[in-house]
Amino acid sequence: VTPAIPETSSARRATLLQVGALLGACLVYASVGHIAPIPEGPAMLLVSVGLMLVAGLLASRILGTLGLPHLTGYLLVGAIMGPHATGVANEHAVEQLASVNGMALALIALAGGAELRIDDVRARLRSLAASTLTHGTIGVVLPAAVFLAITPFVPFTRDLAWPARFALAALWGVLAISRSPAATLAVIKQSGARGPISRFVLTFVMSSDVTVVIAVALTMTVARPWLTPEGTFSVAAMMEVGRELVGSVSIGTTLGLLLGIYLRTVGRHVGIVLFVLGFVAADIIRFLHFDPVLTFLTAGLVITNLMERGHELIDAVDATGGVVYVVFFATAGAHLDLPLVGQLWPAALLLCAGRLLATWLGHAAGASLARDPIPVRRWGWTGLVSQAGLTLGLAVLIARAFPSFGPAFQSLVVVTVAVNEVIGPVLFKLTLDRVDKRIAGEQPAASP
Amino acid sequence: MSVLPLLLGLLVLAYVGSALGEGSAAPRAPVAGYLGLGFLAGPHGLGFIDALTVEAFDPIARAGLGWLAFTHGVAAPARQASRTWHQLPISLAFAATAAVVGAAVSRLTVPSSGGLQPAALLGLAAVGALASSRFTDGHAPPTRFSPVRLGGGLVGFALLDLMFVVHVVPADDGPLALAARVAVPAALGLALGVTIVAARRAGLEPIELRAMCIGTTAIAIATSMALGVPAITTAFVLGLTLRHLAEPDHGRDRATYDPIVGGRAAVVLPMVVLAGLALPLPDSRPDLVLTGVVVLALVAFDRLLRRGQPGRWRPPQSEAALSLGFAAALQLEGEMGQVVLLVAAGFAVVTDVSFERRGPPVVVAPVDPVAAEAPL
Repeated sequence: VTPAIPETSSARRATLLQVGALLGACLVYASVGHIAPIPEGPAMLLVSVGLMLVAGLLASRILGTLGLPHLTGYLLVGAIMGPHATGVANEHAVEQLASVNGMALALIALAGGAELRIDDVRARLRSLAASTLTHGTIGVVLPAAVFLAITPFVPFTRDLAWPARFALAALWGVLAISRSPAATLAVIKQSGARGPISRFVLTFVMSSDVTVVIAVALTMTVARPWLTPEGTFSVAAMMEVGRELVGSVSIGTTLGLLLGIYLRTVGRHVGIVLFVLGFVAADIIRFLHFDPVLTFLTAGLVITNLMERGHELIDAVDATGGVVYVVFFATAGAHLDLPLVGQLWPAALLLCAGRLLATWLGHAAGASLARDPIPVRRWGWTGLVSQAGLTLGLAVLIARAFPSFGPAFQSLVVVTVAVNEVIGPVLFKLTLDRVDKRIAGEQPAASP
Repeated sequence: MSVLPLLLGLLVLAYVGSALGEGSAAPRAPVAGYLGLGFLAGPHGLGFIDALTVEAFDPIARAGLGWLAFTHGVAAPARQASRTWHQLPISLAFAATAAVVGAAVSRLTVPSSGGLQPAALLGLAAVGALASSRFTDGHAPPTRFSPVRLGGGLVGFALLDLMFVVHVVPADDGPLALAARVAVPAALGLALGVTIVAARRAGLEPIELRAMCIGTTAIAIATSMALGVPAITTAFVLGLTLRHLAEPDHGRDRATYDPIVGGRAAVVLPMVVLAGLALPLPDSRPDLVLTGVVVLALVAFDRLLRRGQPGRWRPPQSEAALSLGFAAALQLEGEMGQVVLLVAAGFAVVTDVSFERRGPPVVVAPVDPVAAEAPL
């Protein structure tokens, strides 16, 4: 039996080495910067990416020893490096790194789709339908109401007219029902839980991705006339959204079939193919006015359910995403307008509390309606708190669509996502460790 | 569209092209194919991509070359060091052939110009050194890394570094400045290497290790650029430090090696396409003659040495030679850079096509388990 003391000592040694490595990298950068400042252009871009990767990875591991998720480390490093704090990565470099967003979103959506099995959806159809209904109502309306209530106190909304505030609150409400497929998967994998709570949360989070993406696209179209002076609402605009959604699903199906055939027949250089898809295909899809998130989500769905190559795809996404996610989240952190955060934190806390309440109420109502097992009814909501890449990605889309207030709105989203990402995985892991694993142990032959 | 999606789009085209050609009877030459596609799309071909856009690829090329140098450092385990040293004379002989023939031809064809400048000769020598990687010592299987391949890489990268130093350092700076430009990147690589070793020993997962290596190499390249010293040495020493300090058993568990070097193709192929984009048509007869003679000299030297080693030859490392040629072309303005790139491309195409025609090489010697540990 391995004694506990050496394990603790080994973990302490590892943490010390990580802290040492982090300080070493910063020292090298600071020493060189002292002798010769990093010039603008390629060197600045390279050093930004390099430090985001090195410091992000090390910080996430150091914070991991405190039970905090990796994402928090990436966001923190990005915020410290960003133009609003130390300025190691200046505005130009951060702008150039925005091209990673498309890639990261494509990977997140592909993995999310690939995790969604139609059989699982069919087995839990009643439960999923009830939860979708209650989260789609309570989960949207309550956070939207909280947002609306605080608009007079938020700097970028206080001068808006009331219709615009309603429109923005609706967007906030829809964003509030987005979850984090990546965080959900990571916590389930880490805990090794296979009980009813983990299975419900996984299926619901993956299937609700599709709902959220469609809901955000629809809400943006409906809200646009109130949010931009030149925006108008018409039936044609709704038809355009319909075209966008149907087109995205069609392209995603085709892409999924092609990628599935590639995985079956060739199967090599999958990482490079994903890299190309993320950069080139995402650009083309956006150019054609289709939704890249929905497209890649559908592609992942097709690969798992029609081509049965989901595991290969998920492995390849994990390998490629290891680098891309760090830069993506760190860049999101670098966008964090810290002076604005200083003004927004009370609002962000209120919004987080509102969302938490809405998640709990929405889940309790949905699970009761569907007569889910008691543990799912009581504790299922803990798996629905995390928010991460998908929410940040959707916030990027909103910021691009509404440049006048978009960046400030995005900052508010980043702050609330950071809070949800800190508390969400911790709550979910506690539930899985203390409830789900125990139930799974009592019912080893539980139905899948 | 920005330059990265453009490059990736070209790669897809090249990849699809090579996949379509897989079933045909025509000899396949992947490197020549990727190079040809880049040339066709570039400013000297059909002109889909203009010269300014090609210049915008500079940071990608620098990062790619830095990563190649880093992987070369990581791929140099101490167990093979003595055999690598034994093969260095072959690589040096190839380098000398390329430089001497280049100097002689340039003096003969344009006597008034005084021949190629030292920087260009060093660039040619670097390309020549990598041409030597065609040989194996008969122990390593042909599809794997061998000491010769490492030796060629070592000499090639060192010569390219020297070319940068000679080209950048003003002549009146003296030997001290020259020495500093070699010592500073080595110290920088060592310092960053120690950092990454600490992280490695803290138990990073393979995916995290790869991300960490990419990040540290990017810092190495950027800080070298800021200090005005060659990034190749920094990145190479970084890789060497990681391999030798992180794994006291010198890579027997391959935990450091595989996640890093396994993805080489993802860097090498874009570099070959980029080299094709920058590839010029020889705009004067002397350039054409110089290119042709140097390539022929390298091929002849290659054949001469190979006469004693039937069946032991291997695919040339023409993609690495091309990467070096492209890096040289970016550094050496005008004709000098063009000549180096043309020679690299000429040698790559000739050896690539000839290798594909001959089919897969035959291994006559037993596989050395130590050498077999280090795959390409």
